[in-house]
Amino acid sequence: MDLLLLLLYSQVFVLVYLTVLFFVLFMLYHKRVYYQPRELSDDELPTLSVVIPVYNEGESIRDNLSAIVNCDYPKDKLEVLVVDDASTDNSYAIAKEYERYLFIHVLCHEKNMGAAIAKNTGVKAAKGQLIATLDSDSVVDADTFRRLASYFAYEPDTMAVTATIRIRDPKTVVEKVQALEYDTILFFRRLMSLVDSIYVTPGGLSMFRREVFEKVGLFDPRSLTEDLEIAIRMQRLGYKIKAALDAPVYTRAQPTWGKLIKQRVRWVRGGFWTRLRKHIDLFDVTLGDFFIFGMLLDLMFMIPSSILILTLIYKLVSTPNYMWVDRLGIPSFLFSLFADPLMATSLALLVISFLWAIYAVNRVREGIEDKLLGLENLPELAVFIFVYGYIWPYVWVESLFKEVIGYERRWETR
Amino acid sequence: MKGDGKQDKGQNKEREEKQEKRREERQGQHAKRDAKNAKGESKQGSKQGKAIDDVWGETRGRKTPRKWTWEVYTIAFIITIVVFLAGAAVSYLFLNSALSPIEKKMSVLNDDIISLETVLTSASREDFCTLYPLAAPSLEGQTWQIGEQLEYFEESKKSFDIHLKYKYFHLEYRDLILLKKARALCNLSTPYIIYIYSNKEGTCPKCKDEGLELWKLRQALNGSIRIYSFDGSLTDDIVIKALKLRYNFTRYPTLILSTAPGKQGSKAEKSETVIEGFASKDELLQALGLELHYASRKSQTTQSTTNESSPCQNTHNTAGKDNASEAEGSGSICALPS
Repeated sequence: MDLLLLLLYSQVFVLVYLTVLFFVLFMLYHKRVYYQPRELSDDELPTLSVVIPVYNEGESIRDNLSAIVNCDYPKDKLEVLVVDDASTDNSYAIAKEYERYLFIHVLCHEKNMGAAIAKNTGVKAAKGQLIATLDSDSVVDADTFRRLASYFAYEPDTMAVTATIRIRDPKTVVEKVQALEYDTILFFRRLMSLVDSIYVTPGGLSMFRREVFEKVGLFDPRSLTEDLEIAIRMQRLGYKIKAALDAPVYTRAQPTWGKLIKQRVRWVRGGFWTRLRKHIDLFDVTLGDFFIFGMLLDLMFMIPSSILILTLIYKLVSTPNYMWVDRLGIPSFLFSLFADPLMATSLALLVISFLWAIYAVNRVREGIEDKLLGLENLPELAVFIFVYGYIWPYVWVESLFKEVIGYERRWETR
Repeated sequence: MKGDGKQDKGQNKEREEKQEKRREERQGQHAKRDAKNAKGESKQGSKQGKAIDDVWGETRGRKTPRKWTWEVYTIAFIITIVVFLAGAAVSYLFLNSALSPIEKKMSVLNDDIISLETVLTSASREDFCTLYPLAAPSLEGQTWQIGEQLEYFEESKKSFDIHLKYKYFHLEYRDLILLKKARALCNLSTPYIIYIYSNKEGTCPKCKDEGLELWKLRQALNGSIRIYSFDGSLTDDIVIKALKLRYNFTRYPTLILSTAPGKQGSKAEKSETVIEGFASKDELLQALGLELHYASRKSQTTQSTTNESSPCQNTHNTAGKDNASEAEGSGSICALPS
């Protein structure tokens, strides 16, 4: 067997292994996956500060703040700190309107400093026992904050909880694909929390104990993904991060494929910088499960997937026309899928992933009483499984390239 | 999108209704619990209440002991091995079951060739010349189809059984001999190409392209040309040795084309044109003298230039081995643009 084929088979093996790993995690601990703590009463709830960094969000901030005003968290225990990062539109003015509610305060920067510094400004001014960071284009349910707070009460070692981040009202195919992606991520994040390996506290909405910022420090403004970076720092100290499946927050999807790719490049670059530069010492086998799930997992998916996808594309493209004719009574394209062991196992992987993704999404939707996937979702499912995956090699290559050449770090989607 | 700020009213309303329902459920649960606590009936409740009071005040940050959940990794590894082997087994079984129809087809082809060979050797020339044209299209179709399938198997399966290929070459060679006999004895003008290629790594970068050109040529002539492909790198095979002795090919691809139509008793049927290097479909048509049938760009007068050397071809006539040395000394290959 030549070296190239051996390399390809090993990549397929790694990918099948990673997919099965999550499956086994689920099978062994499935009861804990569905655990939802009892909601706390008003008296039991702690004081909560919600930090909302804002930059040119326009009317979105109105929906965001209206949802908070209507939430059922006791207002005498709630403090909202809107930090305007020198917006040039009417975001500041809209936020100021909400100062008529005594628990909402608006802070501002004179010049644009970035999301991390905006959050830090809010955290430094916060007085709550719990501090949540919320994106300004996200909308919470009435009981989201209460549900998140409940996790801290019934698992006292919990230092942070990530919310159930979902896409708000997806309409186009690209938005629906992201909706599927987010729901899948939620499920797998929940599985990772079972082995204390969550490596990101999403900026969409995450809730922290105050102590986290005192012991771990504030958000790092050098990072493109400060939410990932702070989570890695928390893991460094052995702090527990949990993932809620019953505390929804709805955020906007990227409206176009171009913007989606830009956002993903930012995420991946942030991951590279955090893991391979700042926290490279955490590639340490003594960290146990976190070493695999928290530090190695992304890389383990990235490299084999890229190699395999590029190989498959090459195989399809390089097949001469006449090879597509009927062979032995079946279309040669199908024939090639089964005739080659590599292709056959890759196909098995695709099928497993497809079924697993559907199952994961439906479990999440069941938990928050949302509509399950049905036949009407086939188009976006097909795009998600057969098309969306193929943009990732490009995302990874661009991210690596930009990180290596030291391309300017900025939020390109904003 | 960002500036809009208006939600889908229908989905919003649904969400609000659900939230209201959950709020009512929760209020009911809290009321029940408070009632129990007031009566002092719930030790659990009071315990939990105290625990909750403790939760917010003091620092709770404790270093989580790191561990390996070995059972997860081990079970996953075993399942992966099983899935992997299952995938390989499925494709192996599929491939092997797919090979058996090819062997059957080769057996049928062999029977057809034997029949014609029997007629040729034991019956009259007239009988052979009557039967051969009837059988020829079927022979052509079978040979071509088997060749394509074998080629595909060879590409997709690294441990391809090479003896199957030898068997195929033997069938082709016998078919070629029958064709030459038919051209000579029956005044048939069926053109043919003997295509010598190499699948050995690095010896013939243009062979795949040439294969495609031959496929196009066959399509263009609607199967009325016979194309015989032989892997010249398989020097162990007796047929390849025979071709090597006759044509002394040294480079790949090498194409041997029939030129003048066969005539009874004439030596012209042995006249073949050898092209070393890549040749496109149009150049092959030209060399075969068949371009006019397909309203090609060149006029009839260009046929007279067929035997002239074009800048990018090294062509020569061979009549048996005698001209081999002449062919050998003719100069270099030009790889023609595809």
